[in-house]
Amino acid sequence: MIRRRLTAADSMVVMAAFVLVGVSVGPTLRALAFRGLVERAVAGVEALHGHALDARARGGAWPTATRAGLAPPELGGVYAGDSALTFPGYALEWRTLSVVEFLEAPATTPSGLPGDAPPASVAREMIPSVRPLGAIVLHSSNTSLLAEMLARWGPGASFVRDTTWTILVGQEPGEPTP
Amino acid sequence: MARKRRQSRGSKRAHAGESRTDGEAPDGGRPDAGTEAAKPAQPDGERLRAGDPRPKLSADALLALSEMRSQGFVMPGERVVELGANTSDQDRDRLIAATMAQVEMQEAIYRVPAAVRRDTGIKAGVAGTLLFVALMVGVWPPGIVVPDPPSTLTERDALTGLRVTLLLQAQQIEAFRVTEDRLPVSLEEAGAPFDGVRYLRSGNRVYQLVAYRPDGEPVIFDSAAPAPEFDALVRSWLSPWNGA
Repeated sequence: MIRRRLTAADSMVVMAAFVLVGVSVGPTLRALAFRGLVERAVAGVEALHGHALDARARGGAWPTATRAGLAPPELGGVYAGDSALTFPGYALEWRTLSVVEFLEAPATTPSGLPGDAPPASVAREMIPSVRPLGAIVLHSSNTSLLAEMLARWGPGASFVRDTTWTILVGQEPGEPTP
Repeated sequence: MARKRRQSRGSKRAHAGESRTDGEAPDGGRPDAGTEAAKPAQPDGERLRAGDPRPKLSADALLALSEMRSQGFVMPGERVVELGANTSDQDRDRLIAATMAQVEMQEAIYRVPAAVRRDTGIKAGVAGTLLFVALMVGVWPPGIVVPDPPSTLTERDALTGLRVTLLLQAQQIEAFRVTEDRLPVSLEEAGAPFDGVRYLRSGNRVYQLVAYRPDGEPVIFDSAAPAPEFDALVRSWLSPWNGA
């Protein structure tokens, strides 16, 4: 029987082939996997935003805030299970915030004579009002993913803190939305 | 006598049949020296007699072995021929002939290595160079095989995130004050507290929020006199809601 013996030269050729394949293919595969992760995270954020808007439109209020990975009860029909917002590589959280906005007070009847216009120098009264907002928080230990999310929506609409990326969710036109 | 002459002619035929391994095969094709030579003589061969020429396999063995070595094949180390219980002199002669051919081939193996070693050296050199180049490419990969790096967080991003966190936390407190007309006792009372933020209340009007950068340096939001950096954030983050 004739056998073929693996020589040292053959071993070196095999090792070189493995190294070259690893160098050329490995980073590309990792980059593709990371791009897939980013796209899934973006899709998850947009989906949660859409469902939250629908819930607000139906119930008149933002969904209840929950812990990371848990879906709000109002979205139970969409996200089933206890860890519905936990995904490979990241987890989503829905939370509610409040901001204070100042609205012009309704105009009152002038106390002067009929036909007198109010002085132009009198400023309109502003009254504070609380406006509830929603926020989508993405939790991930992958800082590259957080950076990609920040780059996608911009530092003027979202921010990164520690291992979280957060974006505020409004409802009116012109407000920052995912 | 007639029988002895027939045996003699048969012996010569057997010798001619074996000696074909020295040249052309009976069918005109090239013999497989590694297997043909080890086979017993042809069935029509008869006992070899003294004075009969030994099988001449050297040239053919060298040629076959050179081809086999160039293809990377290695001769087997040993060969066993089972003669069985009924061993005749003819069978033993065939075995001797096959063994002699095998020995010649083994000797031929030692006549070939000079060229083989030369080829192996060249091959090892090329393989070593290839491995060295591969390792260099592995350590310092060229740009063509390196994809675009993902985005990275800058120190500015981290600081901005910290300030926005304090600003939004302050908004929770202000919203609580609007509805309750007082400051909350704790951040939990205001609702939706951010992690890592300390709340310091001074009376019922002024408060400070403190968070720490990764290097330990504190960032403070003072409700009485927010730092100028927060004013820019208020304009960019809260303008859609406060009409600023």
